[in-house]
Amino acid sequence: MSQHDKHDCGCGEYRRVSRRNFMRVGGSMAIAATMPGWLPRLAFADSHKAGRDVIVSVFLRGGVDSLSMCVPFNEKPYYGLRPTIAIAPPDASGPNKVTALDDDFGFPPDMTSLMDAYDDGDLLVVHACGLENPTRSHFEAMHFMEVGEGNPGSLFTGWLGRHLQSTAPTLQSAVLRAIGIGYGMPRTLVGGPETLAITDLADFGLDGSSQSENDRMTALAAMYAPYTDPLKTAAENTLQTIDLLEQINFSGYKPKGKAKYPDTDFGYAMKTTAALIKADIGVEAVAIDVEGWDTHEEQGPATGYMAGLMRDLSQTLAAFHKDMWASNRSDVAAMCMTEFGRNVFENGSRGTDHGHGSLMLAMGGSVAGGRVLTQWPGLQKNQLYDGQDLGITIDYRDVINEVMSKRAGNTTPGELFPEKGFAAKDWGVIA
Amino acid sequence: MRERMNSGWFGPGNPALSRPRGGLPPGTPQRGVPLPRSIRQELALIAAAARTAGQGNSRAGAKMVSNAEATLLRRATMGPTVDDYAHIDNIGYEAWLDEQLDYTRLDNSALEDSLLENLPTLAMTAAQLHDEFEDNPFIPIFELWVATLFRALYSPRQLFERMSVFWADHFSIDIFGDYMEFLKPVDERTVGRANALGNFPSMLSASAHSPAMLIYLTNDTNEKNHPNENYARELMELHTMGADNGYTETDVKEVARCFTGWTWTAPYRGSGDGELGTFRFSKRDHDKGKKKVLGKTIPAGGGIDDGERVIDILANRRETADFIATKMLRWLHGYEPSKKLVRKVSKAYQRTDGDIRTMVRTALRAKQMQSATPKLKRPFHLVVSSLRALGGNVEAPNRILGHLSAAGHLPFTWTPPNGYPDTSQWWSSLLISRWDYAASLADDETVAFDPAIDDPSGSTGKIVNRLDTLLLNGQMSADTRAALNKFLGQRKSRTRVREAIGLVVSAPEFQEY
Repeated sequence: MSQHDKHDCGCGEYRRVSRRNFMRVGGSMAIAATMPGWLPRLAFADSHKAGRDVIVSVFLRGGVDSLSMCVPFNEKPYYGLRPTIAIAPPDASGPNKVTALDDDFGFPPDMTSLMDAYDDGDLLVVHACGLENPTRSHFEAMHFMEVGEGNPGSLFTGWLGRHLQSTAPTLQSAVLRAIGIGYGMPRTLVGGPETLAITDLADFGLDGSSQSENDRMTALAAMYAPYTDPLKTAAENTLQTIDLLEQINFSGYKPKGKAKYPDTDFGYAMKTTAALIKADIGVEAVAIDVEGWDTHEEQGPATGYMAGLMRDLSQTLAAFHKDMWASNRSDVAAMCMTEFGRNVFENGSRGTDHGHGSLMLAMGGSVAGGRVLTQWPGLQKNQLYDGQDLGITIDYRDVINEVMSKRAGNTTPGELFPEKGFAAKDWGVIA
Repeated sequence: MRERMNSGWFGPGNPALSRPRGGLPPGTPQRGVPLPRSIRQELALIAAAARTAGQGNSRAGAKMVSNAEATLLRRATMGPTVDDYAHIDNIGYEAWLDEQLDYTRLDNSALEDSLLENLPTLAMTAAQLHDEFEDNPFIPIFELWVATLFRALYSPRQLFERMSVFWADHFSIDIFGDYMEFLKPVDERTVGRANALGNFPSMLSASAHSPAMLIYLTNDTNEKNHPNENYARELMELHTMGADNGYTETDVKEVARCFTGWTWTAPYRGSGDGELGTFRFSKRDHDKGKKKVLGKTIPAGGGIDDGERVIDILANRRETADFIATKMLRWLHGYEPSKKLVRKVSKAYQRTDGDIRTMVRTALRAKQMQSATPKLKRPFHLVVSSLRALGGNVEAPNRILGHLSAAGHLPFTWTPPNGYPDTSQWWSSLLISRWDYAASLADDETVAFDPAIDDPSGSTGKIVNRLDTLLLNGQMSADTRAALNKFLGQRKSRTRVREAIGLVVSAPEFQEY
């Protein structure tokens, strides 16, 4: 134990300190001292001037109850079929009521953190939207959406992975074009070049003694370079990314615009994502999962589980909006999607079972927001899908395709959503 | 009465067990927090008692076993040791496989005695666990993690352990959910481990009666007037037939009706309802009407037999045999098993009414092993295989658990009900957590080695050969060898050798099996 660094706590915080020491030994400290605390210590080209938005793809896993997240408060069946979990219309008395977005739809109390972004015209709700395939299986539906299919097909790579494959990098020398924040690679990003799964951007380095770190990294590079994929490429990306992220002081990152990210997984992921985007190292896409939306029980959109989930979602997105816009970095397009919606009626457990139509959220400087975009199918018995669910009138692929073609430079038709017979429509998602 | 607060998979779960950001497992003692009881010393004793004679101490050279034998050892154990290679070399492929399949004859009493003595929660009922650990819910969870790790490491019943991991994923339950700290330990004992090399229909039935599963998939509130179809759907999609494979949405609803009233005795219920934490059929909440499942009529008034009947129907479907066979072959053989192989294993299921041993034997035929292509070890497998190969004494299991958590593979903490993925696509992009674990082997506070293993004396070539024999059975690539030679160079010290061990564990060929 005498020669190498003491890592007795096994924690990232300690390691970051020791890495800082390593930097000092390496002579980088002098440069670092002249730079603002969190900024990268390398000078990069202004990749964000490429005219393309950074894509933030958020998958809300479990099946979001769209009727709770964006309430159709003029629909009588909504109230009739949901005796315990409906949210009162805007003109009701008391605090548990909808805040109107327009004449027909409104946010429940725990989504109202997003009202500023909505009123500024940066947030769009696309309602009665989703995957048209009838499956009610989480895993099938997520698979179709992530690879970009409407029906069972043979796609293996994700739509965002294919986007990266088919477009030139915004920064020619980028070693990290996309990340999935989590413990593994989300299907959405599979196939993407220079793409990694990262659990914590602020803690991406090689553990162990700093004295031997260079030698160990050299050895790892030599062992993996001649190997086969996917390990070879993953190792190359990892080793390059260690060097890259070392330049950014995530833990010292100060959001702008008085943005306050909630202390949650998602809040933390988006805060570090903001730092990553602003560091301008050529990252074009980030995929993040938010779990917890499978509300079969005690759904409680006003006080129960879903309230907490929506609070986290809305506060985080609102903080991201404040932070990025105050930094003149509204060149982002965040899209939130989910595998399906839930039944129009509540079940016996004050929750809802798997349904069909849901919604998407899109937020960005070029998003034609401040409205609820929908071809509302209605909730009367004869208007329901399969007699029990909100129908789908806008294909999820339409929304993604419009964003990617108009804001992410993907001009190859059919690249992202190649299914035969599918032609993406523009609904005016982008201004 | 305590109100139920659970919301199915992905549910936020028990506030006492909230999943902290960054994935550090609750119950894993952190810096400055003392380990529960004097568990650290006790665990060292378990390790010592459990290690079979000579394991990890063999100094023999690499065994030139056949390709099929080597593949079998990698597929059917949690990581072969030098002794395992020597053993299969001695007795041959078929005898080795018989020995592992006939697992009750492999004596694991030293390990189990130590575990039970030192980790008393392993033998406690749900009611006992609930009563004793209401204020310290992480203790049963922690002990279950440690037992899972130690059994994988030290049990002579290696194939049994490997199949136990498989079934824990097949009937996956997130231990961070409400009540799971006293229900999942019992579920683990009575579902997967009770039938790991037994009978599939029995395991399916045990799972359907397991309070942990009923709560996790919210069947405990599936009642006649308001059926909750969560369990019914996953029962067909994940546990038996497979998604989109021969059943309809109507079948899902009908199966849900059959399982109305299948619930448990919760702590907030008064006495007289049976023992706390056990299965309970609530006649009052059961839908008495006639049902039709997969074309078969289930007459009215069947009561609890409706659900039993469904289990029977599902277990006897060809789709179930095919689905389990495919998944088992992906586990034991390769990611893309041929249709022919699937048919063979599926037939074995159909012929024997779901005898797992027969299926496994069919999947592990020598002819098949010759054509098996490498799979990527999942993080738990990587960690266990390295420690088995090195014969290390785990000094601080909480650190190992911390590494598993950082790699996203702490046992029983996958949130959705489909279990940890068994794909290279999911796991290959997070190499850094594997390398970090491997780097921790340089630090003698996590794992203690026999001093002969990190002995820095002798030539570089000799040291590298030793590591090659221990970890890779002499199959180290020329590139890895060259990198190690360079790394060790002239600066040989015990620490440097330990770092070299970490590099072998980080090497691409050690990530695969």
